[in-house]
Amino acid sequence: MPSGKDKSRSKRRVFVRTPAGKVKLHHVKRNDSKAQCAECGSYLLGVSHVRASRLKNIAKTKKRPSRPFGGNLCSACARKKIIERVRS
Amino acid sequence: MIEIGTLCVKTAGRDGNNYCIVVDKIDDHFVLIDGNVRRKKCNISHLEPIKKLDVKKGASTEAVCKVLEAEGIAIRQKGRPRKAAERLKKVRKQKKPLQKQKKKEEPKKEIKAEKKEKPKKIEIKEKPEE
Repeated sequence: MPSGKDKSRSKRRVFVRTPAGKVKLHHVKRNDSKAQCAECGSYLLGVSHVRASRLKNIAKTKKRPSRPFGGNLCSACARKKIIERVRS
Repeated sequence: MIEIGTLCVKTAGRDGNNYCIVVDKIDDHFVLIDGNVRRKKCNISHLEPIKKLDVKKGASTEAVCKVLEAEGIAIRQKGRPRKAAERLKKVRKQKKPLQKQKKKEEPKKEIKAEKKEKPKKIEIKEKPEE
């Protein structure tokens, strides 16, 4: 019988092949939700959304785009903001 | 319309939100820009024109920077060598070397080197018979 915590679907189920050659079921925590644009709410591309513990091993350049407002606004909204600032 | 000498703000890419001046026109869609950005070709749709300035075709980076300074735009230093932050290195504990017992230095014995003179062999040459 699986224990109570393993019956919950809040954790992802992953089949893992062990060194002994057997296939076992592992319960893994789910990844963080995707980052969204602060203006329009669309999902941001190029922003990694793994667990915080894995995030520290990823390079800074792989965590967000290197343009202004990168990781906060989508490219279209960032361009709009810049043009607004210039024209005002 | 974007022409040579137009002061612009770049709206896309990692040089976005920075001032630049159009230095050369490559074709209908691309121009060469310089200033607070990397000197490179750029799509016209990625530029927001502001006003026209007196800049010659193919002007150098220094000339462009002077024009920007005259307009009151602070110039961003490019290609500045960065100094890496000093990191604390872990110092490994080293084992103390075992203290060897010093041998008492004995005074060297005076070697009585008296070479015995070997008797010289006397070679007797035989005279050839006549």
